[in-house]
This record gives sequence, structure tokens and C-alpha cells, in this order.
Amino acid sequence: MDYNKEDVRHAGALLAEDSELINRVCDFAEKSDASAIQVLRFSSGLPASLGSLLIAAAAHDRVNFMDAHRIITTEMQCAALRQGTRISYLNAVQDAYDVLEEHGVITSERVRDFGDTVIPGIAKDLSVSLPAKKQDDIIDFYEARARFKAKSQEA
Amino acid sequence: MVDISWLRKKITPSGKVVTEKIKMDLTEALEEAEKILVSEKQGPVFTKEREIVEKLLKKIDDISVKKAQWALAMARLLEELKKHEELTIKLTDKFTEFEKAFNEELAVKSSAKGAMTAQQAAQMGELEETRKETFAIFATVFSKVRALRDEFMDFKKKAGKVLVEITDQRNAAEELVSTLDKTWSVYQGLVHRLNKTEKALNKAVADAEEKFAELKKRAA
Repeated sequence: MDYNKEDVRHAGALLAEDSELINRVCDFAEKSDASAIQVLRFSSGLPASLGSLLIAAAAHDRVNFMDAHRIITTEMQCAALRQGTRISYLNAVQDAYDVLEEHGVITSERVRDFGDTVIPGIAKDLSVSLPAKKQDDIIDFYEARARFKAKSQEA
Repeated sequence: MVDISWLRKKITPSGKVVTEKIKMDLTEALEEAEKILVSEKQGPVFTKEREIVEKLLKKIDDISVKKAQWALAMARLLEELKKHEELTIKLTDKFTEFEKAFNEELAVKSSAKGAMTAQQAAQMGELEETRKETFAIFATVFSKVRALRDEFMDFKKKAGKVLVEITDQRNAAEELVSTLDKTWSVYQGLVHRLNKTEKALNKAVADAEEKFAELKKRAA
């Protein structure tokens, strides 16, 4: 899929004028489910291609470049299907990366920031030990129940 | 017709046992004594209290089932978290590899500046290949980890709501247990009073029988 400089500039202008549009694009980029159906559904009715909008949003740091990449990868696969051709996932991954690089989205600062903030953030979210305290509460409850039962049987 | 006078034990509505002196026909007195014994001994006692206790126990058991479900969900979550942890480590490793390849490529590009030598071009091509490969793996792992993270965060949100609900139920359960304790004390008190009443009735029957035997002896 071709995302030329003109498309991306046009998408950037649209995003600058329409705050609702940029919110929609940002919300979508943050969703993990970038399946083909979701991408196609979201793309319909957009004033510019989803890829162009994501490149423009990533260039202004409104969306993370890896989120933009993930969705552009799927969009490339969707576009290939629409044209009756196929593109492998790995090729789509590389093509999406090349597009982002071509538009100057992938920079060493963004890559560094990704490694310093995004990955540790995800790791933190995933290793939250939610159950520890709650499990204690559950055990306390069962112990209280057992004590009560024993007391009732004694009586 | 033989009239007898005898002392009858009676329970007041407040549960107090009082003795009264009555005079009545012997047959009638015996019939009444028998009636009292049969009805008091065989009739259902503490039906209401039993119902309350059963209802309370049922409620507590229902809550216990929910607690068990919660504990099970937590155990499953812990298992899932282990998988997430492994994948997150992989994500970090793959990103480090990608970052390294990316930086090396940038360094070569920047040192080449103008025209590249054949050696630099070959080196660039090699670095590009490395960067492509590491990025492809990293992007796949990142995609999976993001999906897992969102799924997990969604679960946490739902679990938080369930937790609040369970805490409410736990408080309700504690209240029920306290009510149950009180009901149990009342029940014990009633059993004690029933025993006392039974003894009093037995004594009344024994008195009547003795009186009856005495009258029969006198009649003979």
C-alpha cells in the first residue's frame, strides 16, 4: 500500500483540525485487537487512509510508533486481500516498518523512549500481584467459617 | 365419678413453671395429663427457629461457593501471569536486540555520511538484514504481549468489581454469623426450658398415677 508524502501531509492537516478524529485514531491505536475485521470496520468512513492518519499521528507523538506499526501491518494485509493478492505477515511487518522509517517516524529518540518507558510499563502491568492480599482475605474467611462450624458442632 | 385434687405444673407464656392446685374428675385428669404428654413430646418444637437457622446456613453456603469460585479464578490468574512474565522477558530481550541492530545501522550510516565505500555498503546491507529479522520477531512478540496485557487489564477491572461485591457479601456473612450465634443462644435457652417443662410434666403424671393407685386401693 502506498502512503505518499502528500497523503500523510493531508492526514496531518485533518488531524490538526478535527480533535474528534484524532481521539478516534488514538483510541483505536491503543486497542490491542488490530484484527483485519476491526481495521476494515474502523477504516470505513475515515476522511483519509487509516495508515496515513496513523503515520501523521505517530509523527506528532499522539500514538506510539509500535502501535501505528501494528495496525499498518494489518492494514497492508487487508489492502492486499482487497486487491486479490496476499502478503505474508512478516513481509507486511517489514513493509510497515519501512513506511514508518521513510516518513521519519522511527527515530533513535523514539526507539530509546520505547525501551525506557513502554516496555517497562507493560512489564509492570503484567506482573502486578493482585491476588496476594486478596488470597489472604479468602483464607481468613474460610478459617473463620471453619471455626464457626466447629463451634456449632460442639454446641 | 371420683373427684381428685392435685397439684398441676403449668408453664406461663414467659416460660416460668408455676404450680396450681386443681380439682377434677379422675378420668378427665388422666386424659388431660396424657394429652399434654403426647402433644408436648411428639409435636414439632422450634420449627420457626430451625427454619431461621437453615436459611442462614444456606445463605452462608451460597457465599462460600462464590468465595471458592473467586479463589479458583485467582489461581488461574496466577498461572496466566507466569506465562505473561515469560513473554515479557522475551519482549525485552527481542527489543534489546532490535535496538542494538538499529543503533549499529545508524552509526554506520552516520560515519559513512557522503558516499559509501563498497565495504561500508556491504556492512550496511548486513546490518539492515539483522535489523529486519530482529524487528520482525520483536514486532510479533510485542503484538502478543500487548494483547495479553489488555486482556489482563480487562480481567483486573472485572475482578475488581467482583471483589467489591464479595467484600459486601463477606460483611453480610459476618452479620449473618452473628445473628446465627444469637439465634443459637435462644434455641439453647428454649431447649433448657423444654427439659424443665418435661420434668414437671413427668412429675405431674407420676403424682396423678400415684393418686389414682391410692384411690383404686381405697375403692377396693
